[in-house]
Amino acid sequence: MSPDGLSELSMTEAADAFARGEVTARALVEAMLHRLGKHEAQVNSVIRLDREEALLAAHAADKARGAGKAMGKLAGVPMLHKDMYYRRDRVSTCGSRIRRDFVPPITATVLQRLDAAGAIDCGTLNMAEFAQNPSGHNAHFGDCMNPWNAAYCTGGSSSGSGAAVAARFVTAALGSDTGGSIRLPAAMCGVTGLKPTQTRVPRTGVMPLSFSADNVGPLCRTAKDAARFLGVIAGPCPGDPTSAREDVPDYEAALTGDIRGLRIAIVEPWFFDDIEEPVGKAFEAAVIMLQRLGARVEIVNPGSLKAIAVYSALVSRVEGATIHARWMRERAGDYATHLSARLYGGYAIPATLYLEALSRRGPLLRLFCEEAMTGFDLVATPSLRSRVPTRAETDVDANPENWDRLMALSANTRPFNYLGLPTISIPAGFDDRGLPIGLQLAARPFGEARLLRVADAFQRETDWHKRNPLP
Amino acid sequence: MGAFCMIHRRRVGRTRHPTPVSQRNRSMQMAEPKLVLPTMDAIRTWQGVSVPNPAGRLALADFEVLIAALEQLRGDLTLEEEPADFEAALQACKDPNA
Repeated sequence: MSPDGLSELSMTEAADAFARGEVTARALVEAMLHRLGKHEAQVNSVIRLDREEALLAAHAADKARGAGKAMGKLAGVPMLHKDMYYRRDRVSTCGSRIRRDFVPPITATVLQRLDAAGAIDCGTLNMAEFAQNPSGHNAHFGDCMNPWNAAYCTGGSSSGSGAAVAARFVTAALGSDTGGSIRLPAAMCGVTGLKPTQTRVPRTGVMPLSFSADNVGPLCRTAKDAARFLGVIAGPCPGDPTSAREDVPDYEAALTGDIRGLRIAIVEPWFFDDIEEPVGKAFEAAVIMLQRLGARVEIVNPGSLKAIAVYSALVSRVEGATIHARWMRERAGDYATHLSARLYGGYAIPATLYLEALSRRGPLLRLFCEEAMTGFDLVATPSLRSRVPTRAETDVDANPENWDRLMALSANTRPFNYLGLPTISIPAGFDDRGLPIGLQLAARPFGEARLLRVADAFQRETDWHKRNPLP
Repeated sequence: MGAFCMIHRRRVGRTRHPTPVSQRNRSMQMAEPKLVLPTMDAIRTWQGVSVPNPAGRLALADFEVLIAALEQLRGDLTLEEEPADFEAALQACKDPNA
């Protein structure tokens, strides 16, 4: 198979082909390098590429398989990850000038688990500075550009993860999600992005943004990829006492393709305020598809959303400002304009309101589930209310008046971080400018299997996730 | 949302949302809200952090909307006595098949 042909494989297809001996790890790594050589200049998704190390790891994997050794579920699959997952003795820039030379002393638990599953870590990906913008702008490493059209945002903060998967450089990449940072680039680049339940995936060795709302998850081609990836990285870790002790189910086994009788709630009006027509039409078409597959759909209007929307704007803002306080005092000029402005606002929020937001998180989760999910299995919303914006119209560094447009991008994703619910964005169409549109689905806590089953069933009947921006 | 005509509507409660930030027509020429200067002073006093750039002032001006939204919430909910309730709520609300 040609390098371009190999790059069309999804993560699970590549891993399964390697396991069956139909493809070598070296061929998969070379396909990645071939695609990067061909298209990376117009995407700017990579911060660090460990070419030789990747080829050596591929050789070792091929040799191990040839010797009949037991191989992991992701053996032979090359990956690149958002540059905020620490690997001992490797620079982790976090997309920033401040950490341009930061060498962490530990390796992230999720990287250790991916290593153990046989994935080949080939380097690091571009991202929003300190994972703190929803557009993907980066003043220090250059903006990551949308593979569908370089003038448009990739979405952030996992910009490189969304773009590299969409461009077929890699089949899967780690992202992180505090207000939508996995789901937004997934929606804007046309890939699948899963934010697990808060506490589902340990965060040891991951750059913190917000203690309460940070999540680790994959961006990949398909729901099936996300299922296998999550099965590898989920589960408790002694290094992260907040990680849930819940058993990790076999997520792939849940992908039956059958969603008959499933009940889906469409939550109005918050998620549809100011919605742009192409997005609304794509969402309607997606809902109709889910109905055709046997799902029952109803509209609900939970009163709790008013408070959820307000409080979700507070928590990560304060926690991010707290983490960055020293650098904001001593090195504010080393941040991009939009980021120092955003962090600055966090110092204005009174501690009493921050604690009020935290103390009401549990009660509001209970209330939301009662109002919006009693009798329902899932909630469906558009991932974004607008079409993918251009990089220019969301560039606050160039024009502070773009602030509102930038901050509005995460309006539909942020509430689910506050609620801690598992949420996925899957491709559900294209707008009149040829940019992707995302469908967001959310389940009850620890309902990832159900979420993935619906996303997989949807992808069995649609081909939005198969479209290649750079054929 | 024409296609949703076929979908049964279930009203659980009525919600009035504050006007989203994106709907507001703001211009650099508009008067800066009164809260900005005293808030800058308070941040400098309490945190030792100075306003980094004009966008930082806009970020503070944005809080007019947030404060108004918080005002609307006052009295809506009673403060919980157990602030660590979130993890318990995740368990209480979890997917029955999980």
